[in-house]
Amino acid sequence: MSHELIKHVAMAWMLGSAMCIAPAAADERAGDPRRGAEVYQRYCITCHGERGAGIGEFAAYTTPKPRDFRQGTFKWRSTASGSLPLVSDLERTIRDGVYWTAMPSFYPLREQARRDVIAYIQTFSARWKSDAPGLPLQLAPEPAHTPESVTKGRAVYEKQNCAQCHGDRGTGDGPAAKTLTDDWGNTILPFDLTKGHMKGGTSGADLYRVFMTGLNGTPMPSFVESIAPDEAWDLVHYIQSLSGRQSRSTQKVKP
Amino acid sequence: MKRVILFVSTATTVALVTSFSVSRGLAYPAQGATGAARIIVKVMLSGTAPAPTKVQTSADPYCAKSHQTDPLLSQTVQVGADGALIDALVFVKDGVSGSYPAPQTPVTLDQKGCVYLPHVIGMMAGQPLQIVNSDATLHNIHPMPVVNAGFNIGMPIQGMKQNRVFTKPEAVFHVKCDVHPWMSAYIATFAHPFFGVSDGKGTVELANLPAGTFQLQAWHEKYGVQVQSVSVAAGEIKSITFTFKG
Amino acid sequence: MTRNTVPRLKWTMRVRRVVAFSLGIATTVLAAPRPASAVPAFARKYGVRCTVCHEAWPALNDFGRAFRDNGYRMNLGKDEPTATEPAYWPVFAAAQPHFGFDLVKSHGAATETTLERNGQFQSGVSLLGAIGTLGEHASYLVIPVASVNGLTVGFPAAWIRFNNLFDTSWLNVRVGSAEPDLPISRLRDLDLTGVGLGAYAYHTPGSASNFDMASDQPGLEFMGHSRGSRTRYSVSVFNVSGAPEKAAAFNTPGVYGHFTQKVFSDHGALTAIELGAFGSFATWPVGVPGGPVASTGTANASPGQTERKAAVKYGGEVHAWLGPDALPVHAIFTLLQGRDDRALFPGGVQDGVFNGGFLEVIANPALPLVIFGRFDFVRNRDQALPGRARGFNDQTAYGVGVKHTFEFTTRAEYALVVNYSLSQTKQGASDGSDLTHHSLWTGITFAF
Repeated sequence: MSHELIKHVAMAWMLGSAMCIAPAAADERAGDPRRGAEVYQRYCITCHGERGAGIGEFAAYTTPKPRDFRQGTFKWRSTASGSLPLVSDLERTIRDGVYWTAMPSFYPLREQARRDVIAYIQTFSARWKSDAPGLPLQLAPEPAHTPESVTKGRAVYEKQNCAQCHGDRGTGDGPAAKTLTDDWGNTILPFDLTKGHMKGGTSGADLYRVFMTGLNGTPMPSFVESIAPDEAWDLVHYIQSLSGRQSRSTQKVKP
Repeated sequence: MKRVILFVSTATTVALVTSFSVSRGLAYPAQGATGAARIIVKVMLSGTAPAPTKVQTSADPYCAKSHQTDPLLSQTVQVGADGALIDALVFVKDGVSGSYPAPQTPVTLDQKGCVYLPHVIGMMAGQPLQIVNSDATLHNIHPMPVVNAGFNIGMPIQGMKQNRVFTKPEAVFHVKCDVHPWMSAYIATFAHPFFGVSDGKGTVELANLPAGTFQLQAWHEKYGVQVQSVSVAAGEIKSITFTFKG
Repeated sequence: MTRNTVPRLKWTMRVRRVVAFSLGIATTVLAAPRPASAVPAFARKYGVRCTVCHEAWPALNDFGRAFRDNGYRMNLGKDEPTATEPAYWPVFAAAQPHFGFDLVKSHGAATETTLERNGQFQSGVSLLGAIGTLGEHASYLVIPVASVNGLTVGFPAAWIRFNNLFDTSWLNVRVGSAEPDLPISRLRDLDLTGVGLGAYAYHTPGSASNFDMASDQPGLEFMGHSRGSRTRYSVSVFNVSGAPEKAAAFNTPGVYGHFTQKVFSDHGALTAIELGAFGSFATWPVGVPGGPVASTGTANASPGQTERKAAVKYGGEVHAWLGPDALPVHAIFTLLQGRDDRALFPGGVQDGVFNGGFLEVIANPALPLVIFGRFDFVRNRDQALPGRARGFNDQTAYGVGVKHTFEFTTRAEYALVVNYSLSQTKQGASDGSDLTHHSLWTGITFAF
């Protein structure tokens, strides 16, 4: 081997090993919790409270209650049941708001401001230091939204026994509906799927994620162990078809 | 010159990797001690046992049908003959240290007849838990630990199984089924193998203990917690009793 | 994120330059003080506090502007009256009790005369109003009662707005009497002395037109915005408020248009820039040329033989936001040119043209604390009446103030404001000497 080649290989090897322990290149778009604290004081504190416990001054007057950030439990995620969400999951919730609740859409804010407040919210729970979110769910590509798909989706709805909580017509009045409680002991109702707007996002993908990852902190489980990916899209189409019937909202413009 | 460069680069890499491993705490902890001592624990309930209460299962026709002839009784207080308290968790709280390997044979939690069987589980952190749905109705398995990561998985298909692991030791936490609110189970995970759940005779045997002084704790869902200190010599067999007041 | 202190140094130098202008110009009282509009009715309805919508109340931030553009809606299913608790009343009230001190002086060649000097406790602007949604598609505002220092004004503003027509945020129609969509709203102005933003109402001296771009104008507004209101347009078509001869609707028509585009930035301390353009075309009735001449501001000499002549304004604005997103420094620079048609001036020899504008800086170093300052100017370019000095009635104004909000809750707010302004009008006194007006406003503003 030539002298030059050895030298280059050796340099590469040494640099390579050095990089293994060098800290990962700082993501310059990562959030700054100090700036995030300022954003939180301005926008979030009246519901989520001084220490992120979800007991701000308005919390007593709204249902559902504002999120308690201390457990690291979040509903709208693309990660497995029980896991922390990705930062992009939190960013989506903050950006789009949660329909039917007091959580506004903070789309008008600069994206960096949202990332900063996410970094601050992460300081409320030690779980962000001890756990990692894990891999996000990979969605199968969506097939055509046909009447056949909707019919198959109804069969999935029956096989998965969604009616136990959501009722046979999806109106949220199943036999188990009245005894449900969330992780904090508050009474919680199964969602009325005919309302015309889902809570965690309007797209099919958002709905897909809801029943495939479950909603942490609520009785809504993940059905990832019993629904096949193609069945999942049929179920999405079926649930979307429920919205037409007795829709209580015709709002089509995004907040 | 070539040799010098090769040597220096290898040495650097090795040094870097080792220091990296050590700084990340990859050095293995000491092996936990075992021995031949045994403590036989008897858990009793003093006073009159409360009458068993029936559980309303009419919300789910399948559950109601499963218990048509043999009504479902609450699992909260189960008392055997002569006041033996069943489903009490007994474990060594203090006195053992070091690491013990977690067995890879899974502990099974079955959803059968719309109840959890068993009702109380002690297992090792890192030991697999196999969750089974033997019923033809939807159950969701929803453990609520604080230290470990919880989960909430729908199990609508009869016969379906899934394996989960709790990786960290944790005090007793609740498992619920949201669809059937009377269903309730408790799990505790340990870093050592010295634990058990009292059987029909209210007995738990803690085996393979090394010599030493141990703080034993007995936990019951309704009657709370009791603690006793026990010393055993090498190979000794001792009997102790926990008595909960009814 | 790097802290960039360079922009602050630039402003300090700019302020020093401005202060160094010779103070030989004075002004008379400009438009009456306008209500400071913060609406705690919304805070109560949505559980948010003032800081969520207001950068430095009453000035709006992006969230508040988008909320307003949506028709005072969050668009999350909880806006309609049927989605709100029946016990909720969309009523708000605001008041500003204060001590006001005014000193007006005229500066002749050799002498300085005090024309007015008074200090007194005043009630300021108080108003009672209702605002909110009427249903899924409409929002409204009604201010049935407002008073300025004890003088009651009935029904100063009322409008209904149809939101998101054809399911698009690009078409909203507001019907009623409302302030046009201005670069800085006079309704939501931090400065309470009533001095400043003079370019909005200014006309070359002698013009018959009393069109005030910042007054409520009865008519229609077509307004549209992108999601988050980063791109906005507004076109108002109205009957010029205050014009004589209101026999027919749109008797003296006017049009106002405004377009803005906001762009976020990740470069250092600069977090956003906004550019805008605006213009107004407002007619005013005048007598037939060669016939009896209409005098300024009163009924026309020969009804039925009137013409309409236009006063036009057009300009642009630049906004910059620096520093932390939640505690920004916001600078607004606006320039405009106005042209009043020659026929608006009895005996006018040419169109009256003036240039004007303002620079405002609002700093919000902590949530309860706002420091603001503004520099206003109007410079006549072409006087319409012969024999007038070019700089006749030129105006310069400076304003500075501090606002400290005692409590921010989801129910109400109250703050201490100390506000000083100085305005100078060249040859503004009746004897032709320059006029200076010092104004100090100290008091509490509160809203429920």
